[in-house]
Parts: sequence; structure tokens; C-alpha cells
Amino acid sequence: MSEWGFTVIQTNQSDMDQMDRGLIAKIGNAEPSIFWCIGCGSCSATCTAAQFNNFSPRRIIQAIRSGQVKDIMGEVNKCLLCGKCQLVCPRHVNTRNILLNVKQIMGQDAI
Amino acid sequence: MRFDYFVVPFCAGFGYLIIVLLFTYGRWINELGEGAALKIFKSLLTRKTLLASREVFQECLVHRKVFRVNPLLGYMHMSLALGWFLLIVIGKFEASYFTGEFTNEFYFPIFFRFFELSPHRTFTLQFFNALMDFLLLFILSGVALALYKRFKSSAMGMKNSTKHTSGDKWALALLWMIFPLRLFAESLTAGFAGNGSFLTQPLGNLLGMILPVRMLATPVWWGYSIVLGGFMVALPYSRYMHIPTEILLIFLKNWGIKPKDSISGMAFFELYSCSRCGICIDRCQLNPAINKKNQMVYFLRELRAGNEVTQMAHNCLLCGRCQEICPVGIDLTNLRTISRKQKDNAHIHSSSYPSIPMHSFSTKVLYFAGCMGSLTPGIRKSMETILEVSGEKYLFLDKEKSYCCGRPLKLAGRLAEAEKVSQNIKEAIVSSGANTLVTSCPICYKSFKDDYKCELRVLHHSEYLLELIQGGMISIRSGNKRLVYHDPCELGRKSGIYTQPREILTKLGSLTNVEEAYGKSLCCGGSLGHLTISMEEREQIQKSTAEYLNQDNPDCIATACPLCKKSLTKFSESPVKDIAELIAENLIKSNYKDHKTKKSNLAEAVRIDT
Repeated sequence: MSEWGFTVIQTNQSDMDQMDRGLIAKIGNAEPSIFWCIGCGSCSATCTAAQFNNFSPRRIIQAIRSGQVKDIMGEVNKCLLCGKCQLVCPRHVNTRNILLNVKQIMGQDAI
Repeated sequence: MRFDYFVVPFCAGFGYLIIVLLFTYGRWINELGEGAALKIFKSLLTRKTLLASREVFQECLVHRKVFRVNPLLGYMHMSLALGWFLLIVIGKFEASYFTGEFTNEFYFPIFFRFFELSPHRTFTLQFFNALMDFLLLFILSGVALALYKRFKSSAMGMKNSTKHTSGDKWALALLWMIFPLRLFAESLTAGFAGNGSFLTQPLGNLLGMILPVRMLATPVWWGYSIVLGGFMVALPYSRYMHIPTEILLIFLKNWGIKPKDSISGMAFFELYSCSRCGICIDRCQLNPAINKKNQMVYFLRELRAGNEVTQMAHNCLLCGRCQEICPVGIDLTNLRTISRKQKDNAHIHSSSYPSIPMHSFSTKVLYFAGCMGSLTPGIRKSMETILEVSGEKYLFLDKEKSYCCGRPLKLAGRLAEAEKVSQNIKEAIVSSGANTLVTSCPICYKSFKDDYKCELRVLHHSEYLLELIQGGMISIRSGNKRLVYHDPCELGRKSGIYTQPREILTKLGSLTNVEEAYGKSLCCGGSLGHLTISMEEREQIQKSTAEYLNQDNPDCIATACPLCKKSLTKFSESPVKDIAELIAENLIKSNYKDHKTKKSNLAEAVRIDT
């Protein structure tokens, strides 16, 4: 198919068997505004860290909500907590606190 | 030897207190860290000690800062502290004068009137006697006011007062009982011995008419001694620990001892110096109904008790309004921040803070807009225009991509990570060879100035712009707009920049003052220090601050922080502008062309050289 100049895109479906509801339960409790996210991506667009790497607050929030939390820890550590995401969020999601909570919860688990 | 069994409770309490204090302070001083002993030793015989002594007199005895909050409240504290202090000192002199020798039993001056029954005859002794009665009256007036304050704290300028624990209430009751008991004990003795003065003698005579004073005197002296002893036993475990600790804290502070980034040593001195007066409660802008018992006084109490405080530590704007008014001068925001410190092993991914690409040409001035500066293009562009017109050669450090200074991480209690993030910017600043760093963001400014420790001038743009105006590099039109200035927390209270922005604004228009300005300035609500606050609550603060600044219907609200601008714009009726924007609007560009030609000539010359 590569002769046609097309490739098969990888699936982005969530595997329901791989779903981990633990993290969203904890974070939803600590910072309920995670449920208000509409996935517009304003946070990722303005992110300071994302200028230099593929860090995306939007993707992290989506991953937490859909329970795909395997690689999140490495991702959240890219956050600098500068708070720009929160200033531009049209839904008033406290993104900074969500990421801080992920750090705290996953960090504790790591110990 | 003068002795009676009733002095035993007092002596036991006093001895216990001394032992506990020596043990506790010994441990904390040991924790002060390396170099502290040398620092203390070096500054022991310098002016610093004199200054500290003066401060101890002003703050621990006269309570000058409490007077500034409210005169009646100040009088109440002064009468108890200064009155009691003088009662002890003058009592000692009286006893020494009477016996003719300086040393006597240490309890003798306190129970002087019990042991010395003969009516005094010499003039000096009568004078001493009257003075002691006067001091007792002075203290009792304070106790009466304190009692009144329990029922109506608003009479002393406090809307909310501290809700004390039962332990503190017991200690308070003991403290209040000391002085009336002393009055009654002395009066009863005066009733039969006639050794009182203008207060105790008439009261004694009166009591003598209805009571068997000779029989009652000794039990009341027993009561006085027990209450005194009891208070001293309770002191180390109650809020009254602040009485001895505050004195030591003032000396240590003046000797240059700084708290470390953990709760130990100096932090303990600060914690135990809190008198739980509750003056900080009214200053907190977080909704008191929602954030019940979360203000500094309660936070320090929990911290001192060794309870879990992570939640409380995070629930704070770190605006520093409480610290500004704290009569003890405790570094409150620092205690909150270091309590946020996390023990987890999460680290910042190094790809988030790449090294800054440096341009090869050297400039004297660096401009750093900061993350928040990048989110407010108006400020950035204004700064570019002004710098262009001024003809100053500068390097815009974060023009293409913004870099984080690391302070948000520090405010979140992640000190090690903040240090890492700041490293690259620091390198870029140092290697640039510039001698001035100008930033538009007070958060970055604070961090560059205090944490980076670079050897170049760090200026906030309000300072730099004032320099440009004063140096004749730029000229501005003066208008007749009515302006109100809002002090950003990080620029004013945290960095002490109050006058420079105001000086610029008086050149631009007429500056009207609001009551809550300078150190008392309100927080805009956008603070980066609070991580868990909901947007609703944030907006409440933003709204009330914007309303407050709009009270006189100014033509424009001026501020010097991108974050304040963003927060206030949402709810303000009058436009909110940064100082840089106001200057750019009123810039006279007549000289601009000259500069431009000069600049191109210069560039050409450089090209030819190379």
C-alpha cells in the first residue's frame, strides 16, 4: 500500500480490558473539574513544556478519563506547573491540580 | 530566711518551666544547622544585637505593630506585657531597696507584701508601693479589655478572632486569674497590716469591714501562688510559649539566621512564636465560610501539633497579606511553602527545559517576558516598542519560545525540581554577558532576584522604564487620566517594589490612592501559589478585588503584573493596563527616527569591523 502514498493509521480505540479506573476515581475525587474537559486542546496549545517535547495536558486528561494510564507517569513529569493551561481553559478545568495529583498518587505508588 | 509553704507551687512551676525551656531551646539551636553558631558568635557584639534589643522592646513589650492594627488592641497587649514586665522588675528593685542587698530569695519580690507587713514609712518605699499598685491597675485594665474582647472582638477592629483549643482556654483562664488574685491577696493583707497603697489599702479596708481578712489572706496567697505555678507549667504547651520564644526569634533573625527548607530549627522558633492573636484571619481573602480554620493561625497550630497538614498547606494563595500584618513578623508564606514539600521521587523530565539557544552578539540588556508575559501580548509588544524607541540594544531572551523560571514549581513545594529547571536559564543569563536583566513578570522577577543569585542587575520592567524616563532615553506625554495602581503580590509584598511604578504613573496622569494599597494590597485572585482552588472561588476573589479597585470609577486601573492584568480584566469596568502598555500609548516617538538611523549606522560599522 505504501506505493500509493498511504499508510495504515494505528488504531486509537480504547481497549476496555486494559481500562484502569483507579486513577480517575482518585483524581475525580480530588479535582472534579477533570470531568468538565471538552478536549479542545487549548491547554496543549499554550503549554510551555510542549514547545520542546510532545507533552500534552489534553492527551493526559483524555488518557486518565479513558483509563489508559500505563505511560502517564513519564508524561506528567514533563509538566512545569506554570499554570498557563489553566488560564486559557474555556471550561475552567484546574489542569495544574490534576497533574499535581497524578504526580502525587503515582509517586506514592512508586515508593 | 523568709519562707512560707505557700510559695512551693510557684517555685515548682518556675523550676519546671526553666528546665523545659532550656531543653527545648537547646534542641532547636542544635538544629539551626552548620554555620549558625559562627554567625551568632560573629554578630553577637555588633550593632545587630542592639537593634534586636530595641525590636524586642518595641514588639514584645510595647506591641507597636498591634497598635497599628488597632489602638485599643495595642493597649490591651501592652498593658499585659509591659505592665507585667515592669511589675517584676520594679518589684525586684523594691525588695532590694528594702532589704538593702541586691540578692534575696527569688520569690521574695513577688510575695513582698506577704512577707513585709509593717506599714511603710519612708517616702521612697511609699513611692515604690504606689508604683506597684499603679502597675497592677494598669494590668487589670488590660485583663478587663481582654475579657471584653472575648464577647465583642469587633470593638477592637477584629471581625473574626481565633477559636482556641480547650488547652489554650485553660491557660488563658490561669493568666487572667493571676492579677485579680494578686489584687485580692495584697488587699486582704493590707486590710489588717496596713501595708497597701492607693488601690490595695482602700480595698483592704473595705474588705476588712465585711470579711475576716486575717484568716482569708493566707488562702488567697496560696491561690495566687498555685495559679502562677500552674500558668508556668501550662506555658510550654499553650500559645503562651510565644512569650519567651518571640524574644529569641527576634535576636536570631537580627543575627541573620534564616529558616531552612524543612520544619526544623529556626522554623520551630517561628512556629512557637505565634501567639495565635488571630489578626491574620481577617486579612485572608479566601472565603472564610469555605476555608474554615485554614488561616495561618490554625495552620501553624496544626503544624506545631505535628498533625497532617498537606491539605491545609496547599489551600493558600501565598499572597502574603497575613505576613505583612503579623505582629510577630513570622515568615508565614515560607512555612506554608516548605510544608508543601513532597517526599515522592517524581522528577521533571529533562526535555521540558532545554538549554536556551544563545545569540552570538553581546548586549547589555536582556529582556525576559516570562510565561505570563507571553500570554499577554499587549505587554510584550509594548515593551518591544519602548525598547526600540529608546534605542537600547537588547536581547529578547524568550521571544520565540517561552521558558519557565521555576518559581511555580517552588511554590508547589517542589524545590529540587525548581532548581533543575532554573539551571538552564541561569546558564543562558550568565553566558550572555549582559549586565541588566529586565522582566515583565513579577513571579520571574522574584525568582531571578532571590533564587538565581546571578551577578547582574535584575530589574522589573517598572524599575527599568523609570530609569529610561529619568535618563531621558524615552519621553512620555503626561495626561490627566485618573489612575489607580494595583500592587501585585509578588512585586510589592514579596519584592518590596512600591514606589517605582507609582512614580511612573504620576508622570502619566493623576494617581488616586485606595485604602488597601502597598503592603495591604489585595490579591487579584490569579495567584499561582494556590493549586487546589476552584475556578468559582478564584472568580469570587477576582471579582471583589476588581470591584474594590473600581470604587472611585478611575479612567484606568494600572498594574505591573501580567497575571493581575488577566485576572482583573475579567471583572473590571474600567480598562486594566500594564504600566508598559500605558507608557507605550503615551510615548513621544519624535526621536525615534534619529535612533533608527543611528542604529543602522552602528550595525553597518559592526559589519565592516567583522
